[in-house]
Amino acid sequence: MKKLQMFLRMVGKAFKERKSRVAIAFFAIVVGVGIIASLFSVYYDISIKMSEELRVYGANLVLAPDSQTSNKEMNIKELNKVVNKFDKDKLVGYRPNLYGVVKAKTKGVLDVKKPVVLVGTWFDQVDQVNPYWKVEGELLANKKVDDEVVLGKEAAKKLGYDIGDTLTILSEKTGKQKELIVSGIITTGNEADNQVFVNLTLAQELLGKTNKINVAYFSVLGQGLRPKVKQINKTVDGIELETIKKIASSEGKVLKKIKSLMYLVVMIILLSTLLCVSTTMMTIVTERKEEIGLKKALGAENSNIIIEFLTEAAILGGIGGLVGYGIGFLGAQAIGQSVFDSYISFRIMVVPASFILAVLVSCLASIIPVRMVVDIDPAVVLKGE
Amino acid sequence: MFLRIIRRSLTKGLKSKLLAIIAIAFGASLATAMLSVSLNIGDKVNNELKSYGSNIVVEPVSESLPVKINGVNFNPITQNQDYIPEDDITKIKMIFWRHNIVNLAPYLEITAQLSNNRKVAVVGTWFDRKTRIPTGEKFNFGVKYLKSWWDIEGNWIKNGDNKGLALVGREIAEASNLSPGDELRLEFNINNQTVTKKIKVQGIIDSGGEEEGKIYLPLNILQQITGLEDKVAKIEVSALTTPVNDLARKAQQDPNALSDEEFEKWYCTAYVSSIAYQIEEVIPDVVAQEVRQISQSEGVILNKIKLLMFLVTIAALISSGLGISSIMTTKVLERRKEIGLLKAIGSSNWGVIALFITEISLLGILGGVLGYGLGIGFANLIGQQVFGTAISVKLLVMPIILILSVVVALLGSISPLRIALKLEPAEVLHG
Repeated sequence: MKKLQMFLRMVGKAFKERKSRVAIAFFAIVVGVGIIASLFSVYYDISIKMSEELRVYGANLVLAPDSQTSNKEMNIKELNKVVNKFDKDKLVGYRPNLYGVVKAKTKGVLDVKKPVVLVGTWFDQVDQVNPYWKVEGELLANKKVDDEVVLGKEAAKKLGYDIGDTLTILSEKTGKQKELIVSGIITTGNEADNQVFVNLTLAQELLGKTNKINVAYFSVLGQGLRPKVKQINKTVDGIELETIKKIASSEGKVLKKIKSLMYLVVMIILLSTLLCVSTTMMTIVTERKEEIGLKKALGAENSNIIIEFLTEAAILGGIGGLVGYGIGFLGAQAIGQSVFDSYISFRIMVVPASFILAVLVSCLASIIPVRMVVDIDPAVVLKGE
Repeated sequence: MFLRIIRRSLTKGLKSKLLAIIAIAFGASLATAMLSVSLNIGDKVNNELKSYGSNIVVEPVSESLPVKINGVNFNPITQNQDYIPEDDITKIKMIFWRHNIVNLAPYLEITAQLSNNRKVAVVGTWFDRKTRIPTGEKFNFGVKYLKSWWDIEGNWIKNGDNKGLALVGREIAEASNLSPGDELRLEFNINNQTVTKKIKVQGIIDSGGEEEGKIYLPLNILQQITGLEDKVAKIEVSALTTPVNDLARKAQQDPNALSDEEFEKWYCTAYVSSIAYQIEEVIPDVVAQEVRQISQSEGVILNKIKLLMFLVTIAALISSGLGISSIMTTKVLERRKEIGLLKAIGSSNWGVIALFITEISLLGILGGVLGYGLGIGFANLIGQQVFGTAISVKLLVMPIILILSVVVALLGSISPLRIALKLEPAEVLHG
């Protein structure tokens, strides 16, 4: 009992009497662990965060009727069936398209009609599925608007229309004619620039294809979509869901690079931080060789001294590790907020990991110099210079 | 005397300072590695993002509006289409930002009929073509590089293979039950005359895109069939670009609205819009358009990764600064006796400070140089491992690292030096 009291007093005093040294070591551990913890938190989240970011490229899956279907049309019910197969939080957005050729009156007095591609779609999904579209004016407010139209940039230029004008389109197949107000003009840099967009229901009515669509584009989060796609193709008949390789395979490549980059960087920082922390601990212990000599002269066993120093180091490392984790978590949030505009998720794993790492490093860093000093004859250390 | 003390302290006491030098070197190497990687990351990631394909499309100026669904022409009236002369393609490699042009491929597209009366788009292109540009340099251009995501069942077509080979989209192959090696009859309607051409399926394209519904032939073959010699309808260009900023947005509205100074700055920056502008300059009567899906997204991702690396670099700098300063603190504290002795034999506080500053600066420089060398090694390890290419070392990093190591080492010594100087010599020296 007495022994334990003495031991505790020695450890307590060691902290109390050497405040500036303890503060240096503590500071080193806290900052070191803080940096490591924040980088690891970010590292664990990087795949999810980057894959969310890479959705700016737009759709990565395309749904079309299978090659047996001759007219390349499918019922919109098929789309809903496929949508239900995805988790709500994984599905960023989906947008059906129905294509048809109609005639549009060019602007001017002459009654010139030009053929254009009419696309029926859902405009509320454009932001999710085609975030790169540049929209002048407005897209259609909801799925019910049936007197407005959005023109591709080239279509607008070559037909001669601007926002606010009224455009008449005529479907030769059904003989239906419709006057539409141009609400917006889109620039995409692909074939959508040549097309004319209306709400899906209106296009279905004009083309006489009730409830029909040609394709649907999906933007879905997550790597390894292939098994999911295969499974859906098996369970839903008459359709073919396919990954758009241009987006999906490039995404995989880019994600892999970024992940391995972060891994190496975090590892190098981890290594160097650990080295810095342990050199600090080492010098602080080396300084105390006189104290070790004195203790030995008073009759302490080698093992007593080692245990005492280890306890000190463990306490320092443990507290430093926990405080460091706290700072690291805040640091990770700072990175998450500024880079990804979202929080880095809390991972319980990192807490014990930082704690154990800090204790281990501080113990290891103090045990090496202590062992070197312990074997020396106390007289040599104590005689002074 | 001053110099002698310094020299002695660096020669005799070198062993005890070794730890400090090593610590500084490690800190400096970490800082060097991270700074080098961070300064280079934009270029590296930009190159990786090229796997998403072309970001500029060049087409002839045209009055007519294409009526195409998935490449199949639905325009009932055959109009005179405009074309770009094939010889003009290489001019793209001659613009101001020619080194940023990574790859390109020309296309000529025509609608043909399969034997089952199905209409398909037939595309003539370069697959993997060795092209000599007017400066004499040679490059390999073609869809093989531009469309890195194409999976080919069978083989790619080598250019120069003029034996009537074709790559067929997967959808067509499945619908007509074709596999590599099979033959296929295509019917073209050229000037109201039916031309039939037999081709051999060399490979099947699996891309998950509209290419699956098309047939690809070597450009010169399709030009012969259609009588459109030396003509192409579209060129896709993949260029390394700088993310768009306000200036680029302003220029995109109307390059002529820029002031001379702004114009020059815009023209000499590799924005996608300035590269497109330069392509329009060298090839007459074409429009070069950015593919927003690629160019816009590229900018977003690039900026994110740069910011991420910047923050990580700051973390690394803090970590290395911490290492250097804490080792200096303990090292100075260790030498209280020496400071006491110096004061006891009559040195002023300033004398001691000058001595330590000189010594620490020397340590800082020594450690910094060592660390710089080590850090370059680390940086290249990262570059090789992740991107398969070396990190180009910026000269700027060297002075930054030296200044950093010296300043941080000095900062770390300030407070212990103040403590040591406050002590009475007798107190420290009595043993």
